[in-house]
Amino acid sequence: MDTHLCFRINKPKVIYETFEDEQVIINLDTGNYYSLDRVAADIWGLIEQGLTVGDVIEGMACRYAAGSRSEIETEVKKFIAILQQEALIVPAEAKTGTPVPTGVSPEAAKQAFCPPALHTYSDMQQLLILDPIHEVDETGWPAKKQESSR
Amino acid sequence: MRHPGNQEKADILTPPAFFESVYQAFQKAQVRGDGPVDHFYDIAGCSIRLSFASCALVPYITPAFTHLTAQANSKPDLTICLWDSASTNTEMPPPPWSGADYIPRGEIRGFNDEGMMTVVQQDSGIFNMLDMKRNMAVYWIQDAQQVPYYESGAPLLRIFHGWMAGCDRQLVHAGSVGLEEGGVLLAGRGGSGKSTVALSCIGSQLLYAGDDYVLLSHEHQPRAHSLFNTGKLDADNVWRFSHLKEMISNPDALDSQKALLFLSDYYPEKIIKDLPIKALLIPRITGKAKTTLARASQMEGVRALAPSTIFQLPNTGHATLQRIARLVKQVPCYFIDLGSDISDIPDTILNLLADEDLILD
Repeated sequence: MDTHLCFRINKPKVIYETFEDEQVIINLDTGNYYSLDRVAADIWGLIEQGLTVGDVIEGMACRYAAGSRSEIETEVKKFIAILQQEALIVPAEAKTGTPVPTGVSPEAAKQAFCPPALHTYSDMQQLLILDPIHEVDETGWPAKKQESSR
Repeated sequence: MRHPGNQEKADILTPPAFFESVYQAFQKAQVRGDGPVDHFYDIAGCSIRLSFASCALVPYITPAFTHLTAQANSKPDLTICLWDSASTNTEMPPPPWSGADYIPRGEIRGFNDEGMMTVVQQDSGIFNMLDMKRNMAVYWIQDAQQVPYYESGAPLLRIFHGWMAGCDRQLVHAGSVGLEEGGVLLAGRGGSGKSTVALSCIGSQLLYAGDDYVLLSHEHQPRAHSLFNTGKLDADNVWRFSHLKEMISNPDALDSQKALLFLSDYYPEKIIKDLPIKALLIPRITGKAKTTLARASQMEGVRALAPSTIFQLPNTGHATLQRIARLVKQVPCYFIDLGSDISDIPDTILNLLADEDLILD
């Protein structure tokens, strides 16, 4: 993945809120929803600021201590690719003037890096009626379907 | 495929214009149906008029709201005009959209914006249209006798969701029970045990606000407002509720329907109109004997409440999630692990509500 790429949150199809250190994300189009752990939520926050992939990696390296910087780079790129695949983020123009993360925290103050986790829940998909109405009566209104137990 | 002639109409019929044409049809239906038959309700502090064009829909719609009956009000906050074509011999104007414009959750593409909500319930063909500026809605079905039993258990859900959101009241997929001084919200997807918890409290000290849908407000503290006095039980769960058996409104249809109960017909004193929310409970069916509580995180709370609310209702989005998040961040969340003996569920909730440490964050 090119580190000059930039993404934005796929609003308004994607909505999200932060709870404690975690994030819940809902994709209104697919019916999937997600929870992000702290590391993943931090990456999400940096993407939200309009940073390039390279700057997101830089920002994470400032906050987290890992065995090597390349470990952070690999995991961040992998995670961003998953977010894009799930249509939670889409490519965007890089924002000019977005402050790039600076000021590396002392190693002792950094939190240990662990691979970002995106938990996917698809149990609500059946609530979206994905099959649109095909049957209409002579007046143009939907023909009544068989009553189901609800 | 667009219906013959509808392309021309679509150019003319904007959402407000289509609303007006449907309202004119309602007025004709009202003359032919010997209406209006008006019923008034006080719902979440708002005066609501249900104006029926004929009597045909009344028994399918009003029983769920009996506990909220109010005096006639010449200036209601919201008027809902209800009619069916069969009893009034009045045709509904043809829709100015095509089959491809029906999108998930029944919304009609191009007919939903900040001022207008248009939804066709795809299982029953029930048409709902809300004009937020005029505080008026229309609700139509071809034939009143086609109203599904589950619609009678939770009628006008989409209209109340749309209109109440404009009054900062959020319809949520949750039940609620408690005391006047405080209660719990019961969150979880269908089949999680919300109704089991809520209906197990009938006959206890706890009062009932709903088992599946309630309205949430947040003026000084989070409050749940009752919308329907109904309860639903899976047919294979009815045996656990022997004291409620006589209340089942559809006993001969349990092979294909859930048992539907209108509680205010039998326990009017057990229905509460609104109550402050002190905790969010997430039912889990365990198979163990005893019912117990376990602390849940905010994330677990929001996962139980937000997705099933958002994906069931039309025109939901970030504002809905924000209102739910506000509640979840303010009250503690617990799992209520349901035992096989439902008789200790009310005491488990009463003990929680009596806990002096149960204060809002």
